[in-house]
Amino acid sequence: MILDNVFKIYDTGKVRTYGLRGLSLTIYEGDFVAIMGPSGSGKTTLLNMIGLLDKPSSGRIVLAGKDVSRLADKEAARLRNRLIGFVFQQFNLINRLTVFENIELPLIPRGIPRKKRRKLVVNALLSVGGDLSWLPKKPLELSGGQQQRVAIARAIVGSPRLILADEPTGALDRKSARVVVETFVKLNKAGNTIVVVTHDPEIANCTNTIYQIRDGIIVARNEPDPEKCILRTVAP
Amino acid sequence: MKASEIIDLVRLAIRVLSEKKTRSILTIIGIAIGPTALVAILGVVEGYSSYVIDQIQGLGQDFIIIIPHAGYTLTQNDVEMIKAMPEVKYVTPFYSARVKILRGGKYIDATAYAVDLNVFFHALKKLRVEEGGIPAPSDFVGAVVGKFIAFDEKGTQYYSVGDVITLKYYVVRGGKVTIKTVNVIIRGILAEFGNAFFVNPDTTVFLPLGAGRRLFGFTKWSGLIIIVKDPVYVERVTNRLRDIYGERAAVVSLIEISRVVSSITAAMKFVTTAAGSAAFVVAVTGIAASMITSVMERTREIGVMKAIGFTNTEIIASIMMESLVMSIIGAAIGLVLGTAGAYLLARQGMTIHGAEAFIIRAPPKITPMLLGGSFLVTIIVGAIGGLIPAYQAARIPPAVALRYE
Repeated sequence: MILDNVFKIYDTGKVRTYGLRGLSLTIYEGDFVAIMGPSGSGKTTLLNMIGLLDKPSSGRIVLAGKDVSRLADKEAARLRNRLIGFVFQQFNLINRLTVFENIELPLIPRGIPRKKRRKLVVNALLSVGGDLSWLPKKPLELSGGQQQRVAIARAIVGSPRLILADEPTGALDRKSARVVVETFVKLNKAGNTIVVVTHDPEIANCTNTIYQIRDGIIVARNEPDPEKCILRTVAP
Repeated sequence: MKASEIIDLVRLAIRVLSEKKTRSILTIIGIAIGPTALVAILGVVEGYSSYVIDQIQGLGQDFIIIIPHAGYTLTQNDVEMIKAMPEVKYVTPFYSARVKILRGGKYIDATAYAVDLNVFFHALKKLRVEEGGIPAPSDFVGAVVGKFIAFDEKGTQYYSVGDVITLKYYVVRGGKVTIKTVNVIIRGILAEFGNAFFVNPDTTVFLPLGAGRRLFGFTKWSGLIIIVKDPVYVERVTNRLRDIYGERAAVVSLIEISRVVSSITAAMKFVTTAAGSAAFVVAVTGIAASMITSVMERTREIGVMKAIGFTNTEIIASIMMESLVMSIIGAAIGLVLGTAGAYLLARQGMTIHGAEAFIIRAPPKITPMLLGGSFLVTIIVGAIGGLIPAYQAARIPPAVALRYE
């Protein structure tokens, strides 16, 4: 994915706010990238651009060789469904649905029949270290760490090429956070490209590259320190 | 959108609705009111309308009746004058009186009708003797009785051919009311008929014309029955008779009743449809209010669905599916309740005050057209109610929806 001189301006008529100010960034297939920065620096805006949830005011975004800067809503939704998986800080699971139904959601717009879906859902849940006994349960019957693993299973069930995680451990205790990061490392080793927005250096240090963002622009590219990764600092 | 996806959206919609049970049930009740009202009232009106028109057509279209107003007495001169009209085939006077009959230890209300029975049976073409026969014109103590004189409504028989039946009636003479009693012999029992608008044969004792004067002692005819040579003359003869009698007598033709009933039922249908439409407008706002609240509560969830790849069309479809599911349930409930209500309402009957007050009891006419139309309108109403919230949901940018608290 290439972001080239991307601006995002929020114009309310009276106030003009810059979300991104000419940000350029390249993420390669198989990367495991952390985006760090203070609150209001543009981390989530950047993630929204990468995830095709928002359109840039100017600049160019290229995903898998295709310019996706000005995609129609429908096309963007289709690309998100096929290429991108999202993991959110608050899990954003639908509490009225079972774990199975939550994980299968991205498969519905693809028109995959229910029978086939079962296999995909089971594989996704097992690959994030989940337990099949969770499938008929409602998300609120699970712990925070378990819920986040369900959310990750939902993100990967459609085999996306890119996983975007916005503060995925923000609502978790350290042990649960460790399990989530472990899952990401495993997924990355399996070939998934992962971008994680985080405040937490112990999470960022588990990735391959750390980008520092401030005032809507990348200000530094740091090498992570594996010794300070949560997988080392927190016991399993 | 594939069929499997539509099934999934229906499934998701049902889950949303079952999560907010109270709200969904209240909205469904609001939706059901429209089809319930429409089916119940239109079914009954249509039933009465068909019944009345069928009955009138069964009575014959060549039929006119004259009933004198208070202070006017019909005489043989009137009969001769009408008979002289080239369009007229028969004229016969009749006597009628309210009577009480002792049946199974209880007095029941009935009517005694003394008339030229041949003309009368010609006029009421569907009138049929089930048992026995018609008394001869000179048989002043012979009677043919209606089905519900001899039998009660449960089918228990109290009188048979050859039985003597006692009729009690009141006579007002010189300001004094006296109760009189006459005995007649049942010569025949009629098959069930239904209402004939100026008389209800099922609860009437028919006697030859002469019995009115000789047996009951009546001195004034209650009216005249006129049969014209062809139904095309009905209007002309009716108008001429109205010119002649003016305010002295009421001249009624069954064709006119049929027209009046048709226009009344058309007006009733219009009023009902208008009232039903009001119920549907309420349903639209009810659905819209319920769905807007539901969409607002689920803004973040809609953001998640967009993030994982649901298109705006699919979001609209998923929200619309909720309103459609509610409408289908509401419509189904409405059709069932409306049909049940129609039968309940129809059982009450409709009282028509004419020459004689009587109650029409006709089954409601619940046609596939009425059910299908009401169902379709309810679904359209549901779709309209769900449209605004669905578009509202689709318009929220996913990034904004995900931030929604």
